[in-house]
Formats: sequence, structure tokens, C-alpha cells
Amino acid sequence: MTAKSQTRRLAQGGLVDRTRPLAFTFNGRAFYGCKGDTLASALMANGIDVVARSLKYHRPRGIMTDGPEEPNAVVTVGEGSSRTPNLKATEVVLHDGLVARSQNCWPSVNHDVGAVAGLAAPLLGAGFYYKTFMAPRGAWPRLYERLIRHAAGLGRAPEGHDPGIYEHRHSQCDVLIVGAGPAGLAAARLLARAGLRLVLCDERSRPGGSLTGAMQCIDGEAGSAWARQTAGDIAASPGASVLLDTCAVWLGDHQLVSLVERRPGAGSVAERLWLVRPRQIVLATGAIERPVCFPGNDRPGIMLASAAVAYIHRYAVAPGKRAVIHTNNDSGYGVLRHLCQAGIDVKAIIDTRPHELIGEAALRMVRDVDVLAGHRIVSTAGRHRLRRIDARPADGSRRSSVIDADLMCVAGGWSPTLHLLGHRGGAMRHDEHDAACPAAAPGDGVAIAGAAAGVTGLAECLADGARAAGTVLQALGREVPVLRLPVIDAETEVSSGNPTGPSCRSLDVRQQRAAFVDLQNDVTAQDLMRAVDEGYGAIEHLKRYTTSGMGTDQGKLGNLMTIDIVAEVTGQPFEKVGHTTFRPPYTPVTLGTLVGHARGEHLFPTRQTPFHHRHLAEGALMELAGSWHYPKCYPRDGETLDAAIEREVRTVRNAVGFVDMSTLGRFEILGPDAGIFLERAYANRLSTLGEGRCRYALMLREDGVVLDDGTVARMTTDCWHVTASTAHAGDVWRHLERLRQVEWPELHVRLVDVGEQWAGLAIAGPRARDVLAAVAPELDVSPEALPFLGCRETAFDGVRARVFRISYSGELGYEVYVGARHGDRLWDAVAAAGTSFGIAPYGVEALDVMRIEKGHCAGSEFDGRSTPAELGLGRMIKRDEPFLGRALVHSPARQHSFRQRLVGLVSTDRRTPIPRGAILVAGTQRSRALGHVTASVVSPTLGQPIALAMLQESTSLGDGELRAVSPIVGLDVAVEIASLPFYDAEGGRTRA
Amino acid sequence: MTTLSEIAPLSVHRLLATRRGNNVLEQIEPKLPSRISEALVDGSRTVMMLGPAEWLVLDREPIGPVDRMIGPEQPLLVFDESDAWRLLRLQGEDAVDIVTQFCPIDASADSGFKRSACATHLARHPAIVMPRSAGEIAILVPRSYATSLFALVSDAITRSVLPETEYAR
Repeated sequence: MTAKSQTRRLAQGGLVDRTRPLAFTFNGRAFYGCKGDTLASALMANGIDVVARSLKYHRPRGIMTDGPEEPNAVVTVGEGSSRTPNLKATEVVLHDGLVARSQNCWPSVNHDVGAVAGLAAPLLGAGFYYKTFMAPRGAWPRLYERLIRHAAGLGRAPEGHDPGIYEHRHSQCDVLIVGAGPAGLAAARLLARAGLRLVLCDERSRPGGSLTGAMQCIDGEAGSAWARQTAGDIAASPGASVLLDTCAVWLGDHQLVSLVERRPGAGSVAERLWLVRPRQIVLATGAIERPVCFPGNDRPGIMLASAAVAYIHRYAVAPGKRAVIHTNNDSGYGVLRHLCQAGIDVKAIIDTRPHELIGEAALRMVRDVDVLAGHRIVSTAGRHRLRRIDARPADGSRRSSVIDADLMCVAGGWSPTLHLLGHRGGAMRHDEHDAACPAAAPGDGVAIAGAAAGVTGLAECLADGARAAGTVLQALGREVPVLRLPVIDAETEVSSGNPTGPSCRSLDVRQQRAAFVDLQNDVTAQDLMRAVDEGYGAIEHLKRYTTSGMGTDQGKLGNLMTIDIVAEVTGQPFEKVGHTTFRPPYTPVTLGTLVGHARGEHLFPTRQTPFHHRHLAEGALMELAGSWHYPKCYPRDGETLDAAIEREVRTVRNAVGFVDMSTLGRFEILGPDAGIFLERAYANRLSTLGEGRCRYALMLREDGVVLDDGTVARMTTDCWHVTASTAHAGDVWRHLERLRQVEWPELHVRLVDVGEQWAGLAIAGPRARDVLAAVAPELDVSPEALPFLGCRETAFDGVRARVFRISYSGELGYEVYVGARHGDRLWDAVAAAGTSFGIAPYGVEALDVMRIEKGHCAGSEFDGRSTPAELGLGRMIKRDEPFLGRALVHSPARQHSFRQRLVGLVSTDRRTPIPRGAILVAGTQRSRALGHVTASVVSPTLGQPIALAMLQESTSLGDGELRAVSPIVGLDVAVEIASLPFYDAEGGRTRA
Repeated sequence: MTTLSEIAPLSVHRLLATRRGNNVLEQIEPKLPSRISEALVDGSRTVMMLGPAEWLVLDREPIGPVDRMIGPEQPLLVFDESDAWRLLRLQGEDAVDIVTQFCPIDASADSGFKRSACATHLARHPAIVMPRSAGEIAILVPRSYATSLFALVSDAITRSVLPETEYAR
């Protein structure tokens, strides 16, 4: 059954395993392929001609290449959430159960309604969308945009969770060799012999590159067998790795190379991104054969000559029965014997060059086949498969040669594959002999070998690989080992031949439609010439206007033809026209591969405080505050969120509560100059702080804007304990270290981040002193011994502890810190000591309510724009001592009346909540924002909505009222300015 | 088979050289490593250099008389960070492969990896990676990140690593 269905599978040859059939479906039909097939070769073996439809005109398209340059056979692989669109069938390794579908067609790839677009082709030329859809204006959102959105795009992105697993892997090595073709293998075997750590990668499943698709012999054995043996020897060398199915997609600065390893059907990991940092790189990336531009050059059955050979020898598939070879260079003649060997009847060779320019060696290969020298193809015919070719002499005579053929092998010359070099800005030059663009200079740390360097011929490529390896070894200061070069069977060598002719003559195609330059985006030579006529002479402009080279194949086949046409039409030399930019990645990379493990719970690192399991045990509703898991509140049975927050606030205001403070940034500043250091780093005076005292402190950026606030405590003469807000802890640490290391290295001071060391609880409420007294009986907690803003080092249950009398809630409060491993004991002790007072833990929401009631600033006020004066903290700024930010904090611009200031707001009706983030406007003057609401709550203590806001200092409301408007939530609330703080303005409760 | 486990609590102390210490560090016992990321192992004790004038001392036992390290003229500031860190042990043939999923560390034999203690990030988790022996890597991670990193590495172990190609090692 499997053999029967594979009607084009050759009986012999190829590198596929006929004993291991693989079942797959394409467009719902079941097929079989063989292990070693790609989806493209399996489809071809099963006689599938039309694989996809083109983007714009929905023309039927077949398989044109056998690699990443494929412009036509773009398919969707997989189903449901595993679906991956826009894969090239030539790159999809066949595996059992593979499901593939054509895309961009309806109802089927063979009968596509969208093909009617071809009838309108004369109206849909390059840039048509810039000139149409202008009128009537109202039709744009209702009709045009919908139509275009429906028609645009390739395939459909999967919906739902992708079950595939993607991973990243870092690697460091001496040399990375990209490409395991003849040159890459020759380089790698020499480098492996030298004992270097090397990585050899190749995008195909087998090593050998062009050797796997040809009949060349090396050292007396088939080229593919030699490649396999050599790769095995390299892999067996100490420190060497050979990565197959692994494509180098990006070459960045500092020798960082990204490789994508695709392993469908191999275990649970779908794809792996390698990030390799080699000391030296060998680019043995080969060359890509170019097509030839002629009318109707996109029909199924027209393919690159090298691809036809590869399908015959690599996959044992006959790509057709009656063939024509169309070439502009001698390499096309080498295809003849491969086709004949596969039993394909070669009808003719059509060469665009005159007879005298064809190499003698090439002509010697021709037996019993007509050579139509100096001919061009004027048309092709065939609906779903090439059927007939019409060729005529290029001299303009009308003598027509009509040939019946179902396969045309086009050989338009070879372009070195230098995309990776282009990613790093490597320049290319124009080689007139080969009509190609080899590298002008490889750049530091990179050697180019083989066909990628413009070298042709197997023996020459092997020698060039060895040469590149020698260059690398010299750069690494290593001796070059002596290693015999492989011997080539001379009879299997194909001469490099005479100069390559042009791939396209504008005169040939100017009046002809369907002479495609970029097959994926349906860009024709006519489009290019029209664009030039319209003034798009610059190649980068023309690329964008016509979209030539902007498909998923990035114009690997058509770029040089584009430049050729522009050069000819504009009369400029090739170098003057220039080359478009190669951008990474070399081939499309799935988003999953880029993301790797960083999704779901591993999207970013999360942090837990020492009390995390305590929060969970207390039934806390947890949330992520930045990277911290933090309790939002502790709802009790049947309690709503708002009810829980209100209860927690009342507990603190009326009795006592405690809250986890372990997320704060905490640093120790040590040394005899610590006081001077802090005096410079903070905007308020600190050097006068006595031992056992702490103070609120404000840190500014150089531009006078508030960076963060916190407390600074002087534990001993030379030891200071500094806190920073949770949100800015990292910023403050980096800021302080920079000041120490870069700005003031003369100071005798060291910094230590002790945030991870301590577990901290804040005890707040009128009964806080009673609780602390029970928790730390050795400590005198009387107001005289431990006054407001006092700090002590003490012992808690036999372990070291620090106690600070500070409050964020506006109540009598203490912060107690012990070593993190003793956190549980502290929690238990505080809870037990407060039981009789009704103590309860409270979360970040209650904390936020209480700080707003007290008018304390937090992250939403420290928004990277506000100065101390704007936040009502201007009185803290010292006037006589230098500090960071001083120069600008007092500048006139910072004092201007258009600056904002922090104000309190209440809703006029005392009932309607004020929307957070709302814009403040005066009466009906909606066009001018006067400020915005930074924080808003309904205060359980005051029994009304309150808010903090930034409001322009010079606000004049006139007769109007101030309103808080939020278009997002659809609220418009009349508000009044209220004095801050809302609660305990005298501070008597805090200082109790 | 590769496993991940947490090692029992340790003594961890950070040593910071003061300016005065620069002249007397050579007199200090035990000897401190002099290259960043270098680690010296002596019995149960590991001393590693994290940065300029900055070391971390790990010990399975209480660290002993600290003043011996402080020396006569206070060349070093010593901080007990035993509560700030957790120590994970990754053990098995895939240990290095798993670490290199998350960090560009050079784990090759001739890179000095086996004698190193590299302060780095594993998938953005701050960590110190310390190879202990063939197939065993200790990871010192700040306490608050430990659960997140443990889950990440455990997942990597569970899904194992991608089967290698025929040639890859």
C-alpha cells in the first residue's frame, strides 16, 4: 500500500529508509512517506503537484526548492493548539502522524475561489494599496479594512495553550562551524584533529550538504557515506559536538550565535534555542541556486535544478517524466546526467547565453539532447502542472520551439549564503563572473569557506574548508595539524564553467505578466519596473513599495534578480544599486522557541517571604506584587474582599494587627565614612542622627526627581541600617553601589544587602506596645526608653533581633526583624502575644488604605516625575549641604507654577468612590487635564471615599467644580480638595 | 537520572575587605582565593571570591572563631548571611546540561569550571553555581528565590533534556 501510493518514488537509490514507512495526512488525505523524507519530498513522491496558493493572486504553486529558500510550499503543520503556520514543506522533517494543510486557499488548494484575484491582476500591481481604497472615505472601516484583513496573512496562528516544550541551551566553544557540507566537514575534521572544542551544526538531518544530493565520490566512497563517516569521527573527538536539524538563525555582536534545533516527533521537546559563544566562527553555509525570470515561471513542475537533483539522490523521488533544463550558466548542464539516471526524458536544454559563451566541458556532457542556445522562454502552459514550454531565440526572431514537458529545471547561477554575515553588518561585493555577491571581508573572528566564499567545485570546497580551518587555528594561536585532503573522483567533478548570464532581461519581460521575481509575495519583474518608473529607484524603497524580498523566505531566491532588474532599468552599475539588508532570523523561528521555559509559572522569577506558608495557612488571598508573592488580605469564612480589608483596617485602628515587612529592601552601610556617604546620597540631613535613632529619608536622582523613600537607622557609630521600598529595592541598591564605587570611591564605606537575611513583621495599633513587650521581654518598650523613631538591637527568644519604632499605618507601630529561619517563631510569638487584644494579620490592601488615610506617598506618587516639593516633602530638603540631586531640585523649572502638587480629595457627595487614575478637570473644560488621581479608597475609618492626587499648583477653578473623570470605567465624579493627612493630623497616635 | 534536593542549613558568611585590609589580606588564614569566581575547598568549607574584595565562606559546620578571620587590624568585615541563602544540589548525568539551559556558564573541563563558584543568574534568578564533582552541581540561591528556582529546575529535570542527535554528545 505504501509503495503503491508513492508513485514517483524511485525503485532504488536515495537516502530514505524504505523499510520504515511513515503515515501522514495532507489536506485531509492520508499518505505514506519514508523515514528520511521531508514533507516536500513525501508529497512529491505521492504525486502531489499543487501544495499551496500564492499570496496575492492565489496562483497554484508547487515545490521549487529543497531548502529554507522555498518560496512556494508554505504549509500549516499540526492541529489545534499544536498548529504551526507558515512552515516550509522543504524544512519539515516527516514523522509518523504528521498532519499538514495548505493555507491561503478555499475551499481547497486545487479549487481555490481566491484565484479570481488573478483576473484582476492588472489592477493589483505593486503598491496598488497605496493608490486605492481612498474613496468613499466611510467605506474604509466598514468594507475595505475588513476585506483586506480577511485576505491578508499567511495561515492562522494557533489558539490555546501550546503543549510543546521549548528549551534554551547555552554553549561555549572554540569554534562554531555553520554548515556540514564539504567545506564545513573539511574544516571541522582539521579543527577536531587539533583538539579544539567545536560545534558543527547543519540545518538538515544528515551531514554532507550538497554531497547528499549528488553522485560525487570521495576517497573511493559515495560522498554521502564519506560525510556520514566524517561527521561521526568529528563527533567522537573530545570536546566536539555535531548538531543536525539545527539552523543558525542569527549572528550577533561579540560572537553570539543563535541556533534553532528542530526535533519534531523526538521526545517531548519541540524546539531548542542554542545560544553559542564561540571564539571563532567558520561560515560554510554553501550557496543558493537562483531561478530564472520568464513569463509563467511559477507553475508547479518548475523547480531549481539543484533541487531536482537533490530529490532524485537524497529522497529517491522523480520530480517529473519529461524535463527541460533552463540555464544561464554551465552548472545547469551537470543536471542532465542526474535526470537521465532517474529515467527522466530530457527534451532540451535552453540556455540564455549564445553558443560561444557555453563552456566546452558543459557541452561535452550533452548527448542526444537539443541545446537551444541564446533562447528565452516566452510562455509556459499548464493549469496545475507544467505542460508545455514555448522558447524563442533571444535575437527577436519569431521561430518558436514548443516543448511538451512536465518538469523544468532552472539553473540561474549561485548566490553565496551570507545572511549570517549580513546580520553583523558584513559587506558584500559584486562578482561579475558568477553574477553573485560574495563577501567583501568576513570580519574579525569569522572565516568563510566553500561555496559561501564563492568557491565552486568539490575539490576546491574541501581545500577551502581546510584553509579556513588553518586561518582559525592561527587566530587562536594553535598549530595547524597535517591532515591529508580527501581525494575526489575526477570523473564525478563538474567544472565551474564559463561566466553566468543574466537571470532576467527587462526587455524580455517588460510586457509580460506573471514573470515572477519574488514568488512568495507575487512580485513580478513588471512590478519592479513600474516601481522604478514611479521613482522608487533606491533599492530599500523599492523593496518596501513592491514587498519584494519581504516574505518569510526573505527573498533568498529573488533578491539578486531584483537588483539586476533595477540596475538594468536605471542604467546603474550593480554596486551602485546596492544590496538590501539581511535581517535575522535566517529562517522563521517560532515564538515558543524564543520564549523557551519562560511561560506559565516560569514566566519570571517569583519571590517568597519567610512567612509565605504562614500566609497560606491563615487563608490569605495572595497576589504578585512585582515579583513577590504577597498577601492581599486574609478573608475569613464568607467574607468579601472589601469586608476583609475593612475588618483588617479596623483591627489596626482599634486594637493591633501585624503585617509582613520582609519584602522591603534592607541594606547595611558600614565604615567610618558611612555617615558622610548617606548625607550625600539622601536629600535630608542624616549625619546628625544619633545611635539608636532612625529617620525618614528621601533619595533623589541627579535630576532632582524622587527616586525612593525609606528609613535610615543608626545602629552603632559605623553601622547604619537603611530600608528602601519593595518596588525600588533593586534600583536603590544599584544606585548606592554606583555612588560608592564610581562617584565617591574615596569614602571608607562598604554596603551589604541584608534583605534576604531578615524576616520582618510590623506590629501596629494602640496595643502594639503590649504585644512587643510580651514578644521581647528583655527590651524596655516604654516611650521613654524606646521613643518614636528609636531603634534597638535586642534578643528575641535567644536570637538576635532589631526593633524599630516606626509606623506606616499612622498608629503606634514597631517593626521587628529576626533572622529569616526564625521567622516562624516570631510570627507565633506575635500572634500569641496579641490574642487577648484580638490581633490579626493584615495584607497589602489594608496597608494601602491606612497609608492613604495618612497621606503617605508610595509607588503611584513616586512615579519618576515628582520632586520633593510637589509631594509636600520640600521642607525635608537640606539647604546647606551638598547631596545628589541638589543642583536641579532647586532649579527654577522645578518651582514653576505649572508643576503639580500632592493633594487630598474627597467626593463632593461623600459617597461616590473616586476612580483611581481618573483625570482631573475643571467643570466642563474637559480638554485640559489639571492632574490625575494617584490612589483612591473608601476609608473605613472616615466612612467616606478619599483619594490622593497630583494637581497643578496654579489651578484656578473659577466658577466650576473639580471633577475626576475616568473614560475607562465611565465615571465622572465631583470632588473637593481636602487637607492632608486625612487621619490623625497631629500624629498623636503614632507618637503615643 | 538527575535529581534536585536541598542541602541542610549551612553557615554562610560574607567577607568584605576594607581599604586597610588590602595590605594584610595575605596574612589571613585560611587563605582567600584571589581570582573572581575562584573557589577553594578545604574539607567542609568552601571559600569563594565573588567580586573585588568580596568573598563568601560556606561551611556545613558553624564557621568557628570569626575573629581569626578578622585579623588584627580589622581588614575584613564579616557578615553572617546564613539565613539569606539556600543550597540546592543538582546531581546526575544531565546536571551540567540542565544548568546550561538557564545560564551561559562555560562548563567545559578546561575552563576551570570545576574549581569555580560563579555568581550568575539562572533564568534571571540570582545564584552562585558551584560544581562539586562530576555530575554534581551545588546552587546557592537567595532565600526568597529558592522556591521559584527549585520549581524551574525540577521542571527541567522532569521533562528531561531533548534526546540528542545521532552525533551530538
